[in-house]
Amino acid sequence: MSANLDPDAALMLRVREGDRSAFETLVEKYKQPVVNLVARVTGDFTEAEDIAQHVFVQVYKSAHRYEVTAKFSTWLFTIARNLSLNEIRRRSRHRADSLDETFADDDEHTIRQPADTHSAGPTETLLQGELEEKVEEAIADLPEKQRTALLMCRHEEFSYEEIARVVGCSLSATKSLIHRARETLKERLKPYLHSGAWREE
Amino acid sequence: MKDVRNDELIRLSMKPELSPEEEARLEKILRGEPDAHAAWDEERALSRALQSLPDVPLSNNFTSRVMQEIDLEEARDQRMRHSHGGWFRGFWPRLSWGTAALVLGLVGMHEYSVSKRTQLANDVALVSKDAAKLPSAEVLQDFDAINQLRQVSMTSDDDLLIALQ
Repeated sequence: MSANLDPDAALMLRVREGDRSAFETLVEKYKQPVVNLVARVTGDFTEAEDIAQHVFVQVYKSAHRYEVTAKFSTWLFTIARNLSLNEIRRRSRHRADSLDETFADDDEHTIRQPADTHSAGPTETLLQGELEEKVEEAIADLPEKQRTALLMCRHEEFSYEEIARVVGCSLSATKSLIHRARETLKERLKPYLHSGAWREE
Repeated sequence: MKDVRNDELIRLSMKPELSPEEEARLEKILRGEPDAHAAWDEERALSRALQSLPDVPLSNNFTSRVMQEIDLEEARDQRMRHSHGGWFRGFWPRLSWGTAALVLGLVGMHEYSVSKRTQLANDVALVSKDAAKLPSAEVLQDFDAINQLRQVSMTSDDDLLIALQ
């Protein structure tokens, strides 16, 4: 085994040999990022955990198809995106809406966020909660590819090349998706961005 | 140029902490362009907002539920493999019926082919009888020339008649 092998790829090689504990390690590492992505891509925080569960089951069943040359996280998030799209399509069939849906102006699909845990405490906490809600709404209003690319981009671990592979676009198209998404959010959230609410810690 | 700068600003804005080299690169960008400061502030604020989004709540037993689901699916696959074994027990009767159907089909095709050939032979015999009544080849050799004479224009005959009168 190459010394330069991605640690996750090394774990997947063990999973291919039937090592379930290696798979549990991968699940523990990626369960939160996967649920976060699924919830915000589908706009359904309630079902996100079930869908994320299916993602990992699919990963396990497809372990024999995993190619070591590919970064595991790219492969994992491609599956996560595909299952999220399936869920969006399934809901669309029931409503006969378009696939490239956003979730605005629709009471049935108002973002089902986790229960508001902000108690009536300090003003800053309330403001932070309101700002987070505005960000969630703005993200939900983006077209799916922009939404997915932006969500994957918000943390450093994914390069633009990896994001391009997950959303199925060229590198330049992916950069364009991210730029457009960020421009839309900056415009939408201008009052909040300038409020200094997201101060450097 | 602006796209490259924006790319760089976005990338830097997403980092929780900048290395000395990255700080230097940022300084260079901000010094070089007057509107870069405003752009940097916006990108930084947006990146912070995106990174501050809370994690979606997740069950404590998520991993064990995933492994349970895998076990259930593997058990389901095992049951299906066994039922395919049951299918295999009915394989020989299915093969027999399939073979019989194939043989009947081939026999049917053969019979059809024979009957077509018989029909063709009868038709040839019928034509052969009538062929005996046809004129000989010597008579038919000038057929084309005689046929063309019949197609001579009637206009030239009228002119001849008028001329003779």
